[in-house]
Amino acid sequence: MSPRHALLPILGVTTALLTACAGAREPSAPAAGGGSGGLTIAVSSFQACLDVALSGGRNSTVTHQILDTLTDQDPKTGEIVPRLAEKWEVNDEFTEFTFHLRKGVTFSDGTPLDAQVVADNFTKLAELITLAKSDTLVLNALNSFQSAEAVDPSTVRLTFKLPELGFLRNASDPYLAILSQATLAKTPEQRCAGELVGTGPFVFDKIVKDKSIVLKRRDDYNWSAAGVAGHQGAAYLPSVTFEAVPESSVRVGGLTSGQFDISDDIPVTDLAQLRDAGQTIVSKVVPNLVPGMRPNPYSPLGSDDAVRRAVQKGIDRAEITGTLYPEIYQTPSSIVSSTTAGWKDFGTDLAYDPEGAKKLLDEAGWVAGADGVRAKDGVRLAPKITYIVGNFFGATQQELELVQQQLGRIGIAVEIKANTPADNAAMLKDISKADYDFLTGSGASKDIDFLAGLFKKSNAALLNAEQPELEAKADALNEAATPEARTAAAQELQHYTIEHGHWIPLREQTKVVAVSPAVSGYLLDTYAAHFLYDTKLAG
Amino acid sequence: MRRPGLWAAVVFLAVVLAWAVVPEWFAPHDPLAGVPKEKLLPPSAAHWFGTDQLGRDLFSRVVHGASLSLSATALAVAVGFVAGTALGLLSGYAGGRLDEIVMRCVDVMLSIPGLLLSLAVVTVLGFGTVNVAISVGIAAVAGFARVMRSDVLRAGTQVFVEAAGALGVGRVRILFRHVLPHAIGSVLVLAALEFGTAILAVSSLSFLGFGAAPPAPEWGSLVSEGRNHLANAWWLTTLPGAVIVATMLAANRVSRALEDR
Repeated sequence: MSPRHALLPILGVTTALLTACAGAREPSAPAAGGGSGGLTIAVSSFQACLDVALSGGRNSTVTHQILDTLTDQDPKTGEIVPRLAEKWEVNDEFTEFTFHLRKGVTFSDGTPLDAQVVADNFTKLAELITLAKSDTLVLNALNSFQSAEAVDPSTVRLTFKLPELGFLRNASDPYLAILSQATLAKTPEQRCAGELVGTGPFVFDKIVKDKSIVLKRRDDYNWSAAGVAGHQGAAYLPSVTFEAVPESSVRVGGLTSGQFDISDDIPVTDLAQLRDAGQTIVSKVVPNLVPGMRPNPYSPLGSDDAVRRAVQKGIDRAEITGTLYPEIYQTPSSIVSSTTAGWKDFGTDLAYDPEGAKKLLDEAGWVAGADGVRAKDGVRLAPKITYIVGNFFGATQQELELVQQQLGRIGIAVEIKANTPADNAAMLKDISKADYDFLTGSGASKDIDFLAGLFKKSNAALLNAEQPELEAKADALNEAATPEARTAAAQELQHYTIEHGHWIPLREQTKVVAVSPAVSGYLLDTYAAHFLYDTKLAG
Repeated sequence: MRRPGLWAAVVFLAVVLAWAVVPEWFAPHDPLAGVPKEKLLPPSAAHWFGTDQLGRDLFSRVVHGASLSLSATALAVAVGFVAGTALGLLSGYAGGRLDEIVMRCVDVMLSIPGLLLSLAVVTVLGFGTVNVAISVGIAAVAGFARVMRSDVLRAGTQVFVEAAGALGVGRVRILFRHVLPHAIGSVLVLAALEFGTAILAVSSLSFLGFGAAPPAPEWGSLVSEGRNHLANAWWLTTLPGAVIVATMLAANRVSRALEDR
């Protein structure tokens, strides 16, 4: 046996110990504008596709900085405010939106922003939806889109087949940002790789796949959204570098050692240490369908109403939050988070009720066997729950281990299955043949509008399964024609999905970012994404 | 008792083996069910290795993990031993073209770092303790084959083997009756040596997430789960890591002693 052979495995095991000091030893190229006021952010993952309209809409880290949207949302009041559109009119049926564009706006390639390019953006998105190349969030926002036309050079009109009461808010989400005419001609692969030209305060300078992205400031930027941004003109930072650092201990260590100015996705266990080291913690509840579990309508357990209801009642969410997220985080109170427009508090329906769960299972004929696990007609009550390894957006392994303990007490033996992102994509290709009972995930959007798309059978995770009641509730939200009807439909859909366990919330997702004392003016915007336009770096 | 180091190693290995066979005799708590309120407690008299982020007793998890980790290691060594020995025996005794082909394949396998080869194999096989064991075993095949072949070549030149051939004893009978017993000694020692390496390789793969499904404790995955708590709960990585290192050192010490004899 050669010494080399013996050494390699040692390296593997001791990686853990090395990461502690790796923070100090692993600086990739000196920060972009090192010395000239450039800011470095350590993020937990490299965005697989840089165009969030195509994929990964919930994981936008850089897109916000280089693209602008038609509308914006006031972080204090939640009100929709002008951004690229300076004003707009909506018809009484909420099917026609006329946007009057701001004058003097240019893309970073020099071409002007006009009504035609905005109309072409929406036409292109509709085309991408038909080709199944768009993110589900785009699909949800534009599911009844009919046409877009330029009325005059600075006026654009969008027409929908159904009332779209949430559209103005959706228009402030990054996946509906406006791209230049040249970008629209690119292939989806080119757009994913970062060939994007927008009107935002920063532009791409250098992209090193899976490693880092450097943005530089646009000096002629002069159209920030009033009420959202704190100043006019160009951004303060000359450049921003995003470094992908998957290991959370390295993000934390790199921040305290001064290698990074901002570190993203900080584990709750490191908060005290960072505060002691003088760093500021910025956090915000992410507006979304909260991380949770979705039943497989094709599996015997996932399609069993009693099982879903018992799982819903048998999970102690307060214990999950209290154990794994002892501060900042809150226990979920609905299937959407409290910052999502249309949210209603269903906390009492989500209370821990093990006795009620047992009763439901007893009545449905699930009887405990010799090993304490319930069974019915020879089927063991042992649901397979999948999660994606290393993914913050769905349930984590630790959350599922707690769920496993909690459900074990009422006679449900949970089997946890780890999936790689590729496994998960393969699983979702045809869920009727996939071997799982519950999958885990979340969905990001600021407006409850997207819930309809998530629970209609056209969604890949439902794959045309016939669930008429659920479909009707989702349709009601989709077709609601007045704000009152929409609020009622949104509440009804939340209530129904909770009662029948079509979504089983586990935690409320909170974005937690640590910021060095040298940084000022940093915020998380209403989408819980980095807002760097007003940020300054001292020294 | 002139070699206290050796005896300490033997005793330690015996204890770890006992953990694997009858964990409930040693583990004071349930390895899977924790008390969430008692999470991240440092080592104390009640919890020798402290508790993890879900309030489970880490010592109990290490004790119960011994069974999975050691059986995976044993399986890995067995796979490498059986497949490698068979290949070496065949190659050494048949000679000629076959020998050439097998040995060039072995050269290729030896040129790839063991852990890398295991990683490639386990990626194809998928998650699970058995798959991890098989992949580590496959990476060890080449070493066994090479040692076995050279011993077979050496044994094949002995006078009694030639005599058996001259007396008209069949090739297969000569191989198993006369060559194998004289060649097996050094591969057995190698197997003992491989045991230490295999513990580390199995733990490495389980550290990387290829091992058993959660919440089953495996030594490597215990270290991995503690990674995010390095700054505030050192015991989660350090103590399971120390057990892995100690087991590997003890296994190596014992196999060196076997080699000397």
